[in-house]
Amino acid sequence: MKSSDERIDEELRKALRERFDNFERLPDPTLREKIFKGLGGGTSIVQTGLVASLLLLITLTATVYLVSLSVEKKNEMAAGVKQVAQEFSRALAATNDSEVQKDRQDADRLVGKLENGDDNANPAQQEASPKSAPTDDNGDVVRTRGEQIRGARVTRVAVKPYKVKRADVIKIVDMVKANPAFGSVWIRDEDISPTDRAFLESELEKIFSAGPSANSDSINQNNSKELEGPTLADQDIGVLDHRPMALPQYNWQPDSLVTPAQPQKRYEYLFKEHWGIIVGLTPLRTFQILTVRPGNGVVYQNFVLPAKISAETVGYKFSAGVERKGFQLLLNYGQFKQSYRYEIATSEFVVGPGLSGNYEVVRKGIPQQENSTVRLVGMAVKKHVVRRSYFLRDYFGDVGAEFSRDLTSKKNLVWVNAGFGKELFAGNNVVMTVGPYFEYSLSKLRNPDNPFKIQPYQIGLSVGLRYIKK
Amino acid sequence: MTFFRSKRYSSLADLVRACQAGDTRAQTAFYERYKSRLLGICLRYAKTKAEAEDIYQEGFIKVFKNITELRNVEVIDAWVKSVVIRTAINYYHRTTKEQQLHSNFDDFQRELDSGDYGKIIAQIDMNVLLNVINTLPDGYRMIINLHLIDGYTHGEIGEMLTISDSTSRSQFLRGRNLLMKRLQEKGITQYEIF
Repeated sequence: MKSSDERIDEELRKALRERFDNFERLPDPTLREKIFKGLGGGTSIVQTGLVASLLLLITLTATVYLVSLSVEKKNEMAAGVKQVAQEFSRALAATNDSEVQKDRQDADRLVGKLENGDDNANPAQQEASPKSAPTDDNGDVVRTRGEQIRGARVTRVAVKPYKVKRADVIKIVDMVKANPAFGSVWIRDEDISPTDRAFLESELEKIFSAGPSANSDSINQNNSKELEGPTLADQDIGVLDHRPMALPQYNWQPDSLVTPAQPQKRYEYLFKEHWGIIVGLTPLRTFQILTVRPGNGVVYQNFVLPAKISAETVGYKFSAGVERKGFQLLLNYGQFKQSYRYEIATSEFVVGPGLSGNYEVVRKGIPQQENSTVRLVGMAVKKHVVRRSYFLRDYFGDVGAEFSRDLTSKKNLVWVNAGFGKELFAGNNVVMTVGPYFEYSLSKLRNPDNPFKIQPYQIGLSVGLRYIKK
Repeated sequence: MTFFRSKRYSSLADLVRACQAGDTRAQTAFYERYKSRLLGICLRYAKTKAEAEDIYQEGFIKVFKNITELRNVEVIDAWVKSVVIRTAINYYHRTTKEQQLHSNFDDFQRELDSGDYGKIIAQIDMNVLLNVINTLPDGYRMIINLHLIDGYTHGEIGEMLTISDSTSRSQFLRGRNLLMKRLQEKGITQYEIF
């Protein structure tokens, strides 16, 4: 038999349980944020590792690209310097040869005159010859004098080691006069004496101050002579090929010669006939089309989507795959955030003065928030087309489709995507691609917690690397 | 366009297993399932709404962090509830254990039958009833909640509160009498109003 205390306990227990067994209160939405923040935001080691590896990839790409650029520049400079040095050495050799030849001719002339007893034949040479020189009547003396003349000349060169002499300057001036399309004249300061340099500059100034009109007049006259005839249409167009060369003398690198056929062949060789490996990273800005399904008489109101520029809208996509003949097969991993706020309308209404001064009826609502991350793994097929003609050369276009699966909701999405951009050579076998990228989901993601559907589309900047093994 | 119809946590066990696997979307669904019920429990054990929210937050984090330790996923409801109750007790241990219980019930005269208390509890406004429980001293409030509403025995309560069975019994009796006194007052007030 139960005591009175036990009966009271039973009564209280029964009554309290009836009231509290199904007692519920809706928490403040901010509590949810705090709880999930307290959980650490779900950043796993794998995710951190992935982000770190992507950063490393971008850094490596940038390094390879910058290093290859600087190496190319250095090679070009070295080639230019080498060419100039060769030109100068060739010119110097020619000058020395002519001088030696001239000296020899002078010496022979002197020998002839001495043999004929004409000692005053060349006073300049007499001055140049030392007075203490032996004056025998045989030819040995003459040879000695000739050698001394050459010796004196060598001594003079040692004192004044200018490589470009007045005679060379005169030749250059004549050459420029003869050919007005002649390019720049480059002579180092140590290779020419100041007087010769002043002479050269004044002569060139005279030529150019006389104006291109004088020279061009003569050229025009020549050309007009050549183009004279019954009609212009009857002229042989091949005459254009015989115009004087207007380019400065320069040995173009064979690789940099641009002809319509060669790059196409190179492209085919590199990118069409070989398998390529592709990796890429695309930071994306996500947009969402929100569809609200009817939900058992529940009214949803006051939806707030993230600001246009917000961390809540930023996602990324990492791609890796292979390419052959312009077709790419890629495996993708990406993620973006789903974030929005809304209210579940209640039956309470607030009446108050509005901004216009009139009374307004506002329906009260229970605030709710959706904040989740969509992680997608997918497979994409793309057609990659690169333009190789002169107009928009090395610009590419991509069109493709992707099938991806949301790892959290286990739902599938089908995307179409497009992109374009520029291909930059980042190494011998490596091409870097940079350009805007757009993808649009044909499917809608259904949220398990509420009757909403999200249709995402994304815009981003794609950065990729393609490696083709020769 | 959906090519394969995805399964949406067809059972509670599926949802729990997904949470154990660290699926954030499952955690969201789990939270949505339990959020209102657990806040109701916290409001009973806490003295104020702010304290209840602190316990609620701490309790949920513990649930998510320890859910992997749950072997039998079918008892998830009871497990979640026990985690939150233990969080409330820990909160009580940390913050209000030193509070002295000086209530004197010598002057308490029971004026109503045992059945009348049940009627008062059934008819009284929920917020008023909650306020009656909240304003009980911490020790009494804990034991009333644990023993009368959540069905723990005095042995279990003694373990949870690190007190002896007899202490639990005596404190329960005092707490119950205080509750009845408050209910009696509220009941009379209510009758007077109506």
